[in-house]
Amino acid sequence: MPSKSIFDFSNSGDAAKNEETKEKKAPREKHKREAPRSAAAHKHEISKSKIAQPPAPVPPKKEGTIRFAHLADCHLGAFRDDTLRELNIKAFENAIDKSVAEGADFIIIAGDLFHTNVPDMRVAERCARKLRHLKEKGIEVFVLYGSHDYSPNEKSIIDVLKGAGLFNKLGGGEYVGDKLKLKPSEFRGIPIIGLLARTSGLEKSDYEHLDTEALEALPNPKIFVYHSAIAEYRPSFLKDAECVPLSLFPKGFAYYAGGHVHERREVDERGYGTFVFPGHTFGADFRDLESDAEEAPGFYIVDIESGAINLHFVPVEIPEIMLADFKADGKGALEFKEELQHWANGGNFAGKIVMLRVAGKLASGKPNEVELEKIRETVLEKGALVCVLNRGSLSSAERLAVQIDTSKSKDEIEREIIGEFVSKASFKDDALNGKKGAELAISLSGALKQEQRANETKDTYHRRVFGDVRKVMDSAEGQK
Amino acid sequence: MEICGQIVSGEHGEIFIRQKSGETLEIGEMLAVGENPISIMMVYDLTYGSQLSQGNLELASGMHIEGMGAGLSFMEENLQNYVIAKVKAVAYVKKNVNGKYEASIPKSLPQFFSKVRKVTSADFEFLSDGKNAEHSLYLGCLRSGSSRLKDMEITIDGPDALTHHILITATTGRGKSNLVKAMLWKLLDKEYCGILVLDPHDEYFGNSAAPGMRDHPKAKENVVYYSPSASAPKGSITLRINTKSVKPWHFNGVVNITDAQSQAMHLIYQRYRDDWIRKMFEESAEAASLAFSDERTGGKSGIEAYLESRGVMEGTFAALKRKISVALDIFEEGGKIIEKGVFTTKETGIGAADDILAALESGKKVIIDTSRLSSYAEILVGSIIANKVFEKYAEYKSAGTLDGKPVVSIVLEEAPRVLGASDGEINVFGRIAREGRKFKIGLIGITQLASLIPREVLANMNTKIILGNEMEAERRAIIESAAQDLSTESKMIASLEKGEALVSSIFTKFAIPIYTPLFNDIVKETKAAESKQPVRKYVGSDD
Repeated sequence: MPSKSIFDFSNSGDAAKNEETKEKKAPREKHKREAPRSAAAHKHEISKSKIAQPPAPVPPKKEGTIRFAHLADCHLGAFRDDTLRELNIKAFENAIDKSVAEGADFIIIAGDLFHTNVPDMRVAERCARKLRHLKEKGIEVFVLYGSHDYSPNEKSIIDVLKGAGLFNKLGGGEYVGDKLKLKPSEFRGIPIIGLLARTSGLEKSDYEHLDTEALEALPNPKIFVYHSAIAEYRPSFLKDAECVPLSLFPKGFAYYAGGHVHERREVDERGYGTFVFPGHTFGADFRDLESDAEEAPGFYIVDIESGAINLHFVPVEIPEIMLADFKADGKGALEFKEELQHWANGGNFAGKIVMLRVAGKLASGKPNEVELEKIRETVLEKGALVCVLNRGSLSSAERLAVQIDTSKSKDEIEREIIGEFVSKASFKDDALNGKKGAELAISLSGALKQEQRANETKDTYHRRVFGDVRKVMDSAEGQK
Repeated sequence: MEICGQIVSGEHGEIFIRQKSGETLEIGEMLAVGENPISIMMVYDLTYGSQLSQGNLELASGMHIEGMGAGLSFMEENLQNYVIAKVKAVAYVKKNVNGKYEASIPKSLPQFFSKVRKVTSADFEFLSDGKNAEHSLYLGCLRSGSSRLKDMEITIDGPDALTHHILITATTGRGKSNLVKAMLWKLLDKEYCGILVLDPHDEYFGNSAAPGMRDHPKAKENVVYYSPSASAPKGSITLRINTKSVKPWHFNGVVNITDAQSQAMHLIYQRYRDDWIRKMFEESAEAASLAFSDERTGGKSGIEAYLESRGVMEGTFAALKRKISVALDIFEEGGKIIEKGVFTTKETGIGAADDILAALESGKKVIIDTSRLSSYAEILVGSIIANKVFEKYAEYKSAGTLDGKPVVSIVLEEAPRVLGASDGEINVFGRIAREGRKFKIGLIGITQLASLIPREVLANMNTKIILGNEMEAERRAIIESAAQDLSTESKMIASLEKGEALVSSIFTKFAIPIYTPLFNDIVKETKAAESKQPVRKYVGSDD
């Protein structure tokens, strides 16, 4: 059995997740509140999709009420697959359209609007169009950096769009002595304060120095926007997430608009106010899509009426998602292939996102003999919008694969393996040991695996990568 | 070399030393004979000696106090009258071929009529030879009587001592908490152990009035503090335990549950798994809010109907629910679930027990403020976490990965509450006391009343740090289970001042007298050595 990684993902089959990249809901874990679902899951014999209750419609806006929309974790540009990338941005556009239709006076995006700090320009352009549309309608947008679209080394698309006047960027502030003083934004007298996120939960140190007294003295109703997991609300599957305890948050805000945890949650916290995580608008990977099949993703419409807060969850419209789980245990490769082919030939996949997961150990034959690509082709021929394969857990009795928990994402597996190797090593320099050392290795690997951008000369590319590596090393040196 | 006396008679275990005039020997004082080898001895009793017979002494005294002996004095009084110290040899120290000092248990007597001197730090170099500083467990400095050898820090091997359990015993006000604070403070620099402190007086983390672990330079990285208090300091995590984390076996030895109730509890758990407690209260609340004429259940909750079908009496369930309700501080009133304590059936606190386990596994020190919890709730919280640690470490052991894990030790105040003799099932702490060592889990028990801890458990606590204790019965209980023969030290234990202690451990050659400095002084010392904080920059500051 492999030794435990420093990052120590759960050893159960459940998805314990990496706080930097995957603050998400575990597959098949039922959401806390039954959400409406326009993405009804297909009830296949092998599928475990569930049908949830339809939502209560958002009531008409009353006079004197201030209404805003709260979105988070849109992760635009997250998918390589063209169709999924398009569906992702459509879900965002749908959320914006619904916000406008529901009469939102302003919109808060609580981090990770984009999946990276420099996304595909086509995605950025689509987003910019939508934001311009809002601007033309006079709907203000307040955006906070998330852990994905923030970069310590270079400007982000968020800065570009902010520079173009498409939204207000939250999270401004500065250290005065040992205190972090945040600069409030404001909408019709309602203070809106944001504390931006950084990778690996590094923002926790900012929370520790936050001048909460100054924020608590601001008039209510007021809104605190953040992109961090909260220790007291951390679900068991987010085992390794760096969390911020409630006690570091300023008290007495009417609304705490959260992001980062890809799970919908509302908590009325005594002494504080209402903490809300809307979850993602579409998702960023296989697991998010699995959870979307069980409960439609969405956002919140929030009414502030005479100082009171009323919440309305609004689902986004996404295509139907079909989950299909197949177990290969005890079957021969050809037998398993036939089973899948039979399912693919007989299925009705028109207009659906098909999530096909195959797992287990084949009694004979090799995984590649199952020819999953052919199954996928059949599913697509039968009209599926996209067929997402998860085959990492398929193995063969003839050849045991490396023991990796494939319920985890690529980033998580990478972190786990690096963590495991670092835990076995011992260096004289303490900064290279333990969790610190593993974080450094991951940051370095991230800086070194950057690809050359279009229109970037080799020389510029080299200088950029070298500069980023140097910053990572300087930062590690500074933390000693 | 400062001569303070001379060996004049005695036997193994009871040597008599005549005190030199002008010198003062004290109970607990360490003395030495020779340079290499060195016999180290400890004074355990003092008596008067005189060359005159008792009759003559009494006569002389009578003449003095009855006014008939004006001008009467002893001739060469320094020779006539003196103090005899009863000492026992505690260590025999010899330099080996590598120039290192080695200590062994004395098996011979020091040379008759040897001159005896006071000890110096150099005599105890063997205490630090060959020790791994990274794995040390600080206890204080060496003490000789009432004088302190401040440059002679006393440490023992942490992993060994912690897994073999430590008992700290004293009457009130003799420095138990001060000692534990000092130990924890020094451990905050060490990664070899995770420590869980169940703190019923909320005294270890610290606050604006009294320093604590939060003042340590590494507190942010290495201390995790849970408190149920809304006014807990910044950085603390609100203590909330979701009932999903509570399993039927966590009540073993915590709540007195009958066999029938235990069976009912397991039946409910089998049916509802992690939701068993929530269902118990939710369904009852629902049933209570329904009309009693409900045709299906006759006003009974689904659980009640289910248990009835399995032969469980109605009264059994009612009593079980009442006990669980009291232990968890969760009540049902008017069809609603009221949660008054740290246990919740709602959406928070789901990962708390896992978080604490993860922190311990990474060598952090976790302090749980249980001062606002009922006694049941406090022990139950400890039981949940201790079970979690035990299960996880047992898993590591069977997977062969336990070696790479830090030791986990649990600090238990008022230890007899959980380690005391029980008629019912042994709770997890009792299990740790008996077999935790195999799984790298230990206890640090703190108590005034060691005699209430069963002998078997007491015998398993292989390091005893004995502070002042006037109660003879308590001293006897400790002495009888000590790692060294302390039968002559009873008086000395009774006379220990605040901060003074005797460490008896299977990991020391002899019972070492120590003094633990005041915690506040240790904090001041550390703060003085602290470097300047770096200038902070907020990444959003360019806006």
